[in-house]
Amino acid sequence: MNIIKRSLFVCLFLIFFVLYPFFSMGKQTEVHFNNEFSYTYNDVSGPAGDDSSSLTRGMRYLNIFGLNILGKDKELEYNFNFGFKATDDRRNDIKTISPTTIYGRMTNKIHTITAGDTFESFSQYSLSTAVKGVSYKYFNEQKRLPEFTFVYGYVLPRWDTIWGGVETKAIERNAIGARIKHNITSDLSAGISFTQAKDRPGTRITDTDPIYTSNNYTIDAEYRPIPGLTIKGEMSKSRSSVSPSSTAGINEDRKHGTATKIEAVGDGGPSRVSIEYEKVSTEFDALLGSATPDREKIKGKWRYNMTKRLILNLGFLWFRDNLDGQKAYRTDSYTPELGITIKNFLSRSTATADITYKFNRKYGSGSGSSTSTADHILALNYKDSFGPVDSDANFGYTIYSTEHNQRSSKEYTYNLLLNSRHNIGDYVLKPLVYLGGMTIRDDLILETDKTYEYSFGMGLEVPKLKLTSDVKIGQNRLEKTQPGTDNTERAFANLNIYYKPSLFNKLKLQDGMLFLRAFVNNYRFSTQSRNFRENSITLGCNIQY
Amino acid sequence: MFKKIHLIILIFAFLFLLTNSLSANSNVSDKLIKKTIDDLIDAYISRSLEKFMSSVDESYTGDKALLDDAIRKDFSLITDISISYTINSIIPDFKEMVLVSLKFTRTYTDITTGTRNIDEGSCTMIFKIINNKPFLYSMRDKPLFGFK
Repeated sequence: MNIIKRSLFVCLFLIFFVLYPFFSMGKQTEVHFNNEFSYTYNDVSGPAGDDSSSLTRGMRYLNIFGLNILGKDKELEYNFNFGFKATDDRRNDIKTISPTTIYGRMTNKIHTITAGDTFESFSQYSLSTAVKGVSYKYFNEQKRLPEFTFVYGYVLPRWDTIWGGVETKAIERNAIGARIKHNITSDLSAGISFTQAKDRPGTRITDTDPIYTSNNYTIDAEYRPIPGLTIKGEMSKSRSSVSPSSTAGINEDRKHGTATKIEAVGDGGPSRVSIEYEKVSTEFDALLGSATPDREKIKGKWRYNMTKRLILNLGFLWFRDNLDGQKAYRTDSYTPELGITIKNFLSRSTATADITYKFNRKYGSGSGSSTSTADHILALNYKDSFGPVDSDANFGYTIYSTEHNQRSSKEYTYNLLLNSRHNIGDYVLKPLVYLGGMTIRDDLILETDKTYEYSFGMGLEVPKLKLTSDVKIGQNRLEKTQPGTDNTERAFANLNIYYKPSLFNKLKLQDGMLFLRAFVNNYRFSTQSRNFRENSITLGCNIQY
Repeated sequence: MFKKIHLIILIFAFLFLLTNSLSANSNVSDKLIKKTIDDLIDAYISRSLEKFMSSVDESYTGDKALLDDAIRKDFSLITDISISYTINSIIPDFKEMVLVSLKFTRTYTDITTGTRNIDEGSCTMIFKIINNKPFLYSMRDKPLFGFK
């Protein structure tokens, strides 16, 4: 980013973030901050520790700070946020100190200015991303004038991308957006948006990074003709050019695409019905919004409360690709779904059973080597209470079938969670047991994989001392029958203690907390050279004001 | 390294003095967002698809049903998942959306090969706030869930 833009950013932030809040302090200003500092000691041992562990060895610190100043000066409300992260653990961040959040917002309910991290969401296709820049909004509810929003900035992953460094370098994408929205009647509103995303060619990280320039023109509307019925839609056209690489002689690709979406939701009495149609052309780009190109979709859902005890869920999803006919074949996907929820199951007032069946059918058709799949997915869930013990049991059965002998397998999943809560004097005990597993039978290679997890935990709360803690021990196992593959096993133990000393209250730090987190993971494999062990202990302090 | 820690402590002390005379209140909405992310991770790690999908918005971009399929695929291919993350920023649009940018480290066992894998990246999530409860509305960059 050139020196002019850097200077612009610096001036903007000095004026907006520092000077205004500073001079406004003492009127009706509130200042809050949140700081969490923790020190972690990690120990990794075993032959595969360096390659397989996600922990960074040794003593590591992490500090996350957030400052929030908000206040009111006559008609003007303002809000300023600043945050930074400091760490010497590269798993937490690639930089030792980096600003995370910097934004300020001022509004008098008619004019609103935001600067810094600016997030304006126009609509799904046009703008739903944050920029580092500024936005202005005009909205006068009393005069019933249209709402106008303008946003300008850069789509950058981090603040320190601006002032450089190889680790934080990113393609510089300039974003401009404007939107007018009008509530035509109390039941009908419509909006029109323009957004532009423009990458600067000189900021490529590698020669083959594509550089985009894209304009989107979008209209959207929402209509509520009768109570309980909402119809909303959006249509967007994109005009894009893509430079695929910096190599001379490679032509720029120009694309024109359209995306359309319309949805109706009816919610009344015992039913909730939604129907949605969407078509996004192959060449549609939504660089600042969100869309999946090359898809036409119809989706319907019906939730019906048949009785107080019985709820019926029906769903259907169809989508297809190859809208421009450029692929060798097209794939149509059909997914009907049926679900039934039964409350007071078997006349037990605490029992709820849930059964869901889903059929995933994909047809490939055309001249290419298309494939078709037919997957059946069944899931059962049962929740109940037996005296002081709450239970949650799940069972799943799935059949995967893909033609041309690509996949033929069955999968069984099962898990059970039992937990309870006991008040004993000044203490609260919360024991829990978890048993879970999965069996995958591959009918093509005639092999079976099994996974298991069992764990036991105990929570302890001492409300008088404002202390909560929990400990959990258990084991995860993967057993494979295929020769040449590894069985794996992880034995683990976790301990967490959170303590809110009364001293923090005296200092007006209501939610101040000291914490200790520790865990041990012991990984064992059939191939012993893969074995490793992780020990970690973290001590920290969280202060909120 | 100790110089940096001293610097952090000094900054903290300065801000504490600055703010000690002012009224106090904690930032509840950021807490709620963090709790929702923790709940999503807990449900994902404990392979509770129903619980996970209950925190996903009906109008999830890319389609909720397809995210459901992607999570199911993760559960078929990997096991013993562990996720740690740090939040970079939480930015509200002051209407109904909140954008969260986070850096994560994910470790898991590949069921097909039996190997332990590490994966890290940054993910941008947008949450839609409905009746004061955040629901996952979109995931960008490197998806934290449904990545296989």
